[in-house]
Amino acid sequence: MKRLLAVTLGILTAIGGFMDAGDIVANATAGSRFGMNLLWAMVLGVGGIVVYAEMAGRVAAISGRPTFDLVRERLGARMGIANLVASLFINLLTLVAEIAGMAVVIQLATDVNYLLWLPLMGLFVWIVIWRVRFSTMETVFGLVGLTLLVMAVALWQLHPDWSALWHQSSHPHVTGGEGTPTYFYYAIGLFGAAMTPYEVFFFSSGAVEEHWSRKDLAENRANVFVGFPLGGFLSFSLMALATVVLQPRGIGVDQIGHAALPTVVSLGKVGLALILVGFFAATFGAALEVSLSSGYTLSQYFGWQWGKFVRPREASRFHLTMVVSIVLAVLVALTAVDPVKVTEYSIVLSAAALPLTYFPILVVANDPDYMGDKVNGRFGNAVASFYLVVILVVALATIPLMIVTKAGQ
Amino acid sequence: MSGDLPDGELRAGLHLLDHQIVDPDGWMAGNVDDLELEADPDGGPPVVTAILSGAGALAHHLGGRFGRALEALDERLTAEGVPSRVPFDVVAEIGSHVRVTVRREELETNRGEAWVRRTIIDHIPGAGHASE
Repeated sequence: MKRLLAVTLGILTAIGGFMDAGDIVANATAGSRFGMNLLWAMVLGVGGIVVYAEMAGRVAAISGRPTFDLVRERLGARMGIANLVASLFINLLTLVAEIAGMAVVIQLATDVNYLLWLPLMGLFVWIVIWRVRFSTMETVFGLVGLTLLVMAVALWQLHPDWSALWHQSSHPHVTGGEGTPTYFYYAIGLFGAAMTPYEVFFFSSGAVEEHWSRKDLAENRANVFVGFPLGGFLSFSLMALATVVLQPRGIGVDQIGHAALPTVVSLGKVGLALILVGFFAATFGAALEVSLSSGYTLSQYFGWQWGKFVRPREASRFHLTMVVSIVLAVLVALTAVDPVKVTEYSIVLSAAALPLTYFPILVVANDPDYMGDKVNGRFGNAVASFYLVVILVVALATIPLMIVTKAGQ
Repeated sequence: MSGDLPDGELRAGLHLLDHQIVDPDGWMAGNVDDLELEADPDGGPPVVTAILSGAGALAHHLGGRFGRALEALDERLTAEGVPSRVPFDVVAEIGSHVRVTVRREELETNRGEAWVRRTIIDHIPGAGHASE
């Protein structure tokens, strides 16, 4: 149990990254349309986020510098502000989707329209940010989010044809009736969702909130190597469930409820209860992660005091940023904009902005002035450089693919 | 950094840009958004006399259309209309942070923080309590 509690920062970061409202729909959609033929994109993304989150956490532990601080310092004021504006915009879109996602889950449980729940959900998110200690937040939401493992049980209970799933995963091809650009558009969506920058903003700032230092490097690695692969495993389970249950029946996914369907088919009422708890915890956790990420990025760019480790009045602009973000997100969601569309766009746009975040991390992780003897090793640099190339290709291909495929239709 | 800058102090000044300012107690007190330079009367290279911080200073440093828009916004929002100035003689250490010798409450860079605290945050219950 103690070991599990030590890695809750990684678990919460990963659940917020892999199992937020947009990813739940994206994974289920990918399964229902392409089967397991897109699993590789998600696995590639897990590798990327593991490599870069480990670096971001190590830099934060050794130098006390969270990621957005480095973005400003290494890219300069001008490129830094481009990344800031893009990140805040993407965070806002994501927060809209998370708060709407929370409300939709409550609608599924109560049958009361989700629009009515939106202000209350926004209030919940703010109260946790205002009052709850960082470590408590991370433990509660990380652990309750583990309810999502019910998806793995549901998959097991369906006795799927494992060899067929494996064959599709290992010999991917574009499924009949789908265009190649659409296939790659979804591949970018899955890769981008795994590597969303708010994960490293949150993870590295969380490391500072938790006062990590040189002696916590093992904890950093444990968080990264447990948390993100776990997030990937949850994504895999959902994708496989959609492949087994939704694809043969031709059921499309346009909202979170559809993503819960396979678990209900497999495990009945118990499955329904657990998956709703899991989805609620995951979207709530993601809402916290994204709101805090907005506070962290803006404060770190301007050098304002930030952090939940100080009283709110000592970091007033940091807290004001989050209040404004949450209010804006609730207002946008109240226009009844389709939350699923909103997240799809936010994931794809964030894929286009990836290099602006990951390049500075790689540079500083190699700077002995900051890192002393804890600079990257040769192997780490080789893998990180490979991913930087992938990220650049993805960033360049994203917008054209979005236009060509009319956003994956 | 280019090696053709003759004066060590100016080079240090440029190295300051975009760094976090930290006060003696570890509080974060703004970012180095711009620098105030003064020409040397003897015709030598200019000397850094102060760190400028805040949206107005940043806008000036950024330039371009975006910088002008930010500057206009800042002038509307702040009564002073002048960027916060941190005299260079309070700078104690230049490393990954810029450490100053006075507390953040005594720096001009804290005006925005103090204003938001006074006008908004202090009116919300629990603003002065540590998280539970």
